[in-house]
Amino acid sequence: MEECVLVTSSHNTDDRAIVVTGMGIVSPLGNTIPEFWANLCRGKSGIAPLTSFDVADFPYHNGGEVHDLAAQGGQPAATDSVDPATRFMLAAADQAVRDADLTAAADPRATAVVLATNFGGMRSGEDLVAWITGDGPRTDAMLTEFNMQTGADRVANQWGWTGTRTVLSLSCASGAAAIAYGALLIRMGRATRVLAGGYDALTRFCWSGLGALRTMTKGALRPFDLNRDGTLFSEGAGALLLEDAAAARRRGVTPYAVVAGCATNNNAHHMTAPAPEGAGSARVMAAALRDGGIAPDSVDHINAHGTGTKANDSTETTAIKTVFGPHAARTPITSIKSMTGHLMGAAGSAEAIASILTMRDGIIPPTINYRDPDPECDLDIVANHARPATVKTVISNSAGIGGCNSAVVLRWTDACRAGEVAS
Amino acid sequence: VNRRRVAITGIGPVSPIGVGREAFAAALNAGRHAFEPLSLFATTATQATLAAEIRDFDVQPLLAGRKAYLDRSSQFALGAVALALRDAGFETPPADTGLAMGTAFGSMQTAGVFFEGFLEKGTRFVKPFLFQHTYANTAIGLAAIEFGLPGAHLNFVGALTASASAIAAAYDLVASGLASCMVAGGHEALTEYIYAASDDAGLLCRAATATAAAGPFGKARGGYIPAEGAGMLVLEDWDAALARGAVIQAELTGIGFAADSAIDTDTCTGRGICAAMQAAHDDTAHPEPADTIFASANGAWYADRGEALGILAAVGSQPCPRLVTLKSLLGEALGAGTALQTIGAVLALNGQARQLPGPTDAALDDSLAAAGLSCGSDATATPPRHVAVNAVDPGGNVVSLRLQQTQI
Repeated sequence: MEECVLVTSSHNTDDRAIVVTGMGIVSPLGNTIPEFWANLCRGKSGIAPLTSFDVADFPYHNGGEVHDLAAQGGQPAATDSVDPATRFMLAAADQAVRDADLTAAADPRATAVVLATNFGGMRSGEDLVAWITGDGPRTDAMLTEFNMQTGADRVANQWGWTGTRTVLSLSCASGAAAIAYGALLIRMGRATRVLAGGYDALTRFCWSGLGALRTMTKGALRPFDLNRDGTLFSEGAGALLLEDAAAARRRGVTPYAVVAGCATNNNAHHMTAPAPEGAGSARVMAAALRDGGIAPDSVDHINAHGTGTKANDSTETTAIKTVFGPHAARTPITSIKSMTGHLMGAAGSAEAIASILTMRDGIIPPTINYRDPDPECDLDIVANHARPATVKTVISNSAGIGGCNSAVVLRWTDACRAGEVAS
Repeated sequence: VNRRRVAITGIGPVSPIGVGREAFAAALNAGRHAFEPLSLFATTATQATLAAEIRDFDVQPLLAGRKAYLDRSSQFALGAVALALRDAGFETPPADTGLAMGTAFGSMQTAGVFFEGFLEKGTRFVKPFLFQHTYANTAIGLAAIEFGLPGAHLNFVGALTASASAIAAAYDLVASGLASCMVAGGHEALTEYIYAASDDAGLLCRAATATAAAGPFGKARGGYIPAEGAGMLVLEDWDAALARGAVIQAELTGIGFAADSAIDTDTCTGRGICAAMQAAHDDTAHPEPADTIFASANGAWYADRGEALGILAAVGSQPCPRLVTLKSLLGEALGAGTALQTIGAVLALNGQARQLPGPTDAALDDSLAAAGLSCGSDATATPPRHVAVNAVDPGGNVVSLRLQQTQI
C-alpha cells in the first residue's frame, strides 16, 4: 500500500537532522516543563470540576483547566484583550524560546511559526456571535482574536521573527501535525528554526459541542481499560522549538531529541468514527517510521493517542499491532491523557514533550485509572505507576475528528541532553 | 533535497463570476465582476452593503451521494475539488493523493448557528449533528472521504494567506517526492458574523455601487468587497503527469515566504513583500523575471500600498511588470483568494484568459503612481510566460508563488 509520508528527516544528529532545542508547556498539570513532568511521573490527575464558566446546565462537569498562568509569569505582553487560548500559546512559546536560549541568536528571517489548534480564539468567537444576536456587547478585539492567524502573528511579533507564520487546524491531530509541517519547512530550507505549537482553550462552544457528541465520560478517564467510557477534554498549549541541527550546533545548544520522522494523513472513511481496524492510524504510524528509516522493532515506547473512548483505544490497539506485529506486545505504551485530559489542539504537542522527557530521564509516565485489562487493548500498558525504561526511540500518535491522523517519531542520541531522574 | 518538477494538471474554480474552467475564463475575458448588494443576509446594521456572492450553485450533482447537511463553505470546497479532479482527467486519483486546504473562518456559518442555539435554548438543546460541521477542518475531512483522498493532509487557517500556504505546502510535498499528487487550494463562505464584524472593524468597502468602489491600488480606496468561493488545483509530479498523458496546464516553479508586521500601517516599506517575491524567484530552478504579477491587493488602504512598494522594490530598476488585480472582479474571498488568483494565473499562462483586469492610469492611486507603480495592464497583451502570485495578509504573513508556461 502506498503510504502518505509528510516529511523525511535524518534520524541521527548529523547536520541534516532536525532537532528539538526548546520546550514549553501550559497545562492542567502545570505551566512549566519541570512541574508538568514531575506531575506526570507521579501520576497526578489534572482533572477537576470546571470553574472558568458555569457548567451547571451541562451534562459534563469535569475537565482539565489551566490555573495560575499569570502568577507563574506567563506572557507579560498578553493583556486581558488577548484571547485565553492565544495567551496559553504565547506563554508556552515564551518558555520554549528561552529554553532554547534563542533570544539573542535568532536569525529573524529564518525563524518560522507553525501553530495548530482546534478552536483557536473561540472565546472571542462566542463574543462575536453574541454581539450579532444581541446577547453581548461589542468588543474591539473580537474579530482579531477570533482570527486564528492572530496567534501565529503574536508569537512571531513577540520575537521579531519574519519567517512564515501559519496556523493549522486538524482537530485533535493538530499538535503533531504542527511538528510535521515545521519539520518539512526546515527540511526544504524554508526556515532554520520553527516554533511548532498546539493550543486550545475550553469554552462554552466546544464544551457544548463535545458534550453533544457523547464522547465524554462522567467518571474517570481510563484509557485502554475494559470499563472506559469516554474522554475528558482539557486546555493548554505546548511548544517545541525545532531547529536545523547544524544551526543548533553553531549556537552551542545541546538538543533534547531528534525529530526522526513524521506523517499526516486521513482515514477517508468517516467524519467521527475511526476507520475499521484503525487503518488510517496504522498507515500514518508506518509512514512516520519509514520516513525516519526506522524499523518498527527498534521503537522502545509508544505514546498513544489513547483518548479513553471505546472506539479509539481498541482501534488504536489494532493499528499498533498492524504496524509493530509481535513487537507490539513487548513495547510499553502509555496515554498521558489519563492525567492531562484530552488537550485537543495541544495534545500532540504535550505528548511529544512527554515523549522527549521520557527518553531524557528513562522513565515512562503512567496511564492512571487503569483497573481492568481489556482483551481488545492487550498491549503492555504502563498502568498507574511510572516505569523506568531505557527509551531511545518513541512514536507519538494522534488522531482527530474529520478522520485526520498524525504521528511523530522522536529519537535520543548521545549528542542529546543527558538524563535526569524525575522526582 | 533534490526537487522534482511540479505540474498543475487540474483546476476547479467555484467563484462568484463563474463555476468551472470555462465559465471562470469567460467571465475573466468579459471583465465581468460579481459585486451586488448582499442577498444572503440583511445589511441594515452595516455600513457596507456590497459583496460578491455565489448564486444558484448546487454541489450535489458533483457528489457521489446526496448529503443531508453541508456548511456553505464545505459545499464550495467539495465542488471545487470535484471540478479540479475532473479537470485533471482522473478516473481514480493516485492512491497516495493528499489534500492541502486553506480557509480563514471555515464553517463559521454552522458554528454561528450552533452557538446561537446554545445562547437561545441552552446546551441541552443544541443540535449534535451540527457540531461536527463547525470545525475548521470539516471541509477537508469531507473531501477526503467523498473523493477517497487518504494522503498527506494539511489544513491552514490563515486569513488572506491560507490558500497560498496550502498550495506552497503541496508544492513542497510533491517537489520533495513525498507525495506524487496533491489537491490544494482554499475555500470561504460569506457569513453575517464575519461580514458584520469586518464592517465594524472598518475593513470593508462602503461604496453603494460597484462602479463607485475604488478597487485595488485605487484612489480613495477604503476597504475590500467581501467575496466567497473556493479554488482547488491538482499538483502532480511532473514525470507522473507525463506518464499518464495528463495535460500539464502550467508549472509551479517556486514558492517564497516572508513576514512584515508593519503591513497594515503607514510605516510599511514593502520589505516583507519584496522578500517573499525574491525568495520565490530564487526558489525557481531557472529563474526568469516575472512578466506578470497577480497582486494580492484588494482595496485595503495600507496593505495595497505596502504591496505596491514591495513589488517596486522587488522589480528594482526593471520596468514594472503587468499588474493583474483579479480581486477587482472577484472581491476578497479570504481563504479562497489566492487559490482563485492562482487558477486565474494558470488560465492566463495557457492563453485561455486573455484579458486580465488591472488598475487603470486614471484610477491608480497618485502616490503609488508617483512611486513608480505603472499599470501595465493591456487587454491585447500576449499571454504571460512567468507569473508571480502574491498573498499578503494584513497581519504580516506573505506568500509568493511562481508559475510559468508549460515547457516540456
